[in-house]
Amino acid sequence: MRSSARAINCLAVLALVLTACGTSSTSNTSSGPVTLTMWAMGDEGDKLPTSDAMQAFKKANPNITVNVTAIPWGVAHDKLVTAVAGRQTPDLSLMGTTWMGEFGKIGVLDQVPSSVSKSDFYSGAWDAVVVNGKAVGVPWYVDTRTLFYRTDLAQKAGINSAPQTWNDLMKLAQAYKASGSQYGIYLQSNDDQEWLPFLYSAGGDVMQNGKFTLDSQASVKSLTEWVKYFQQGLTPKSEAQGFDVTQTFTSGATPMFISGPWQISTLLKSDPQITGKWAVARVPKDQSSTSWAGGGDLAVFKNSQHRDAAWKLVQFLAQREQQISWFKTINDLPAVKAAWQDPALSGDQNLKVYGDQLTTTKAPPAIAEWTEIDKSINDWLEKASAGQVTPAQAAAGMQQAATSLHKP
Amino acid sequence: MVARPARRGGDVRAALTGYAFSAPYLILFLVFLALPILASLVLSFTDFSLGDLTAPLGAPFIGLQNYAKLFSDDNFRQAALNTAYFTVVGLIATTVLGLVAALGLNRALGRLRSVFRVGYYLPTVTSIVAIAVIWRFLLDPNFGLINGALKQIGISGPNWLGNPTLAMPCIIAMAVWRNLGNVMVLFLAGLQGIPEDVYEAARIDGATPWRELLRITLPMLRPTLLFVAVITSIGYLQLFEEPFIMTQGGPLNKTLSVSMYMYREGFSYFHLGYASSIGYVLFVVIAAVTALQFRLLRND
Repeated sequence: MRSSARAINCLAVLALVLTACGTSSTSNTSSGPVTLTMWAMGDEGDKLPTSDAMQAFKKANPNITVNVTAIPWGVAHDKLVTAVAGRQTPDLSLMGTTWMGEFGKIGVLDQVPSSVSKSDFYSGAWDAVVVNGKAVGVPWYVDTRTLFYRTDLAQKAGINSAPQTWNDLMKLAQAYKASGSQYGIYLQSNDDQEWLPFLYSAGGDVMQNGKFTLDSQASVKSLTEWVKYFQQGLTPKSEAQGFDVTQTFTSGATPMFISGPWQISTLLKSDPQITGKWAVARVPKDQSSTSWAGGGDLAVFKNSQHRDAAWKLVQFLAQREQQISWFKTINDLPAVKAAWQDPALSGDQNLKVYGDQLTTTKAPPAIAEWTEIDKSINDWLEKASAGQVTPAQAAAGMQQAATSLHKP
Repeated sequence: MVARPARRGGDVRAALTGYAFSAPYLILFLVFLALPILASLVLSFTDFSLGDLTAPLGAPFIGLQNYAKLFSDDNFRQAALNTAYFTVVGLIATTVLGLVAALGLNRALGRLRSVFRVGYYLPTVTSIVAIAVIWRFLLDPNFGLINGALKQIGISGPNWLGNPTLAMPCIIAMAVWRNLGNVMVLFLAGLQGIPEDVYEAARIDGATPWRELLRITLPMLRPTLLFVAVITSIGYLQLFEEPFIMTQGGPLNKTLSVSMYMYREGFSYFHLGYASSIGYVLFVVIAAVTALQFRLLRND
């Protein structure tokens, strides 16, 4: 009696061990059906599940189910941090380029498989996913800043060509104001995504050879130029939360602004009355015309049970055809250079400017503390814009803040 | 002597029953309040940051450095100043206006009284987030109702929340408007607790209404005043939602509050150690302010 009970116990344990082995072995090979959890932010998260690209992936990989969780951009960073802390990360996620350093450095991201070719992507976009010499994500779409300006009002002010240089930009802003616009341009007093193109174009950078160079001569020069627009009343001193520049652009109160590619479709859709009366131009040059590079990267988490399947999805989305299809869905600019030969992109005059601008961009450094360094740069920028500190003081303040926050 | 052991057993049983009944609360309190409070005290002596998430116990212990850093941190000093400004002005305005509203409602108005009571109290029971969003729209420089009204009479209104000197007064005005009802109800209850015969005696002695207010109403309202001051300043010192929704702490950090700075350090940058030390400083300040108010307004 007793021995038979023991035998049953042994059998039960054996069965448990066997089933345990069984489940773990299926998760290692990608033959069985797999369910991936993917986080995606903003519009990308809303539109990805039903997009043509995702349907095509499902057709090609019937055994992989993808559950996309849509998260608003505003809370995404904090949510990812919390997920890492609670070890509840998804299999893969869309990441803002500037977060790659942070998450790459704490070692929760899987290294990109060697079959992904770096040369397919814009170099500025690829640089942003490399942390400590290893690629930990794949650029999905790119983003940069260019100048939007009202051509009709420029003509009225007697200027018929796009501003090429800093001088042209200043002259055009003054001309707009002189010919009846409330302001000449809209520059956000506390957003370095609009100031960084000035810094880069003056030959400066945030970091060079592992050292911050925010107090360089180029930095002071770009801040001096930036502050002029505020001093001369060519741009609003400050704006309320939730301010929408397209409204004042349409009314003509701020006939220029520096922003990203999504504004093209926003303006076409919501402000058709000014279609044909505005254009996009490269950021004005000083030493060069170099803009800020950002965008979205796809990263796979090391904790994931289905890394192979996740990378399969990432590589699928980075194919030329899928990049074009995704552009048609949501107007995200392809990170894969070859996709830009498609007529959907090369046929549009405004998009061409973006494609052109993307060849000369710089990305903020991929360091863990970028989010907070970014915030203090914005704070100093705001102080300089308000005239509380001189450009030189702001540059020194930025340098000091960045140096003390960064732990190499 | 014989009964004693039995009674002791009864004591133990009674105590056990008591603990058993309070266990649901006690367990929740210990796990979700006492433990985190203790853990954050320990955290405030470490340099816990994002990198320590994967191995939380490896966070370096740095003693009082977080606290030392606080006092040389420009952002924290600005946040502390802003919070003090908000609390002092807000507390005085809320108390005075709440008292005036209560006095008015207590004496006059007759039938309209309940309409006004509901009117003043309504903002208090409305979600602060909804209120802050609506106020942001009202104060919008281009499309807001307030500047629209000013335009009608030929004044070009300022950029309320975008102006470094006007932003905080706007937030104070909103907070006062929202908390007025709460304070008013407390004062009303206090006023109704003052016996009528005291006023009668005063009137017989020929006291003017003004003297009645100064010599009878205010002294007899002292316990209510204390309660209002303590509750309001504890709430105001933790200012968070209003600037979080309306200004994000800007412009030029002029509406950054201590709680907001703590949130930013803790949950945007994940400096949990530093954020914990901010939390403890805020806690000590609140305790000290409350103690001071008890001293000043105590009934001797």
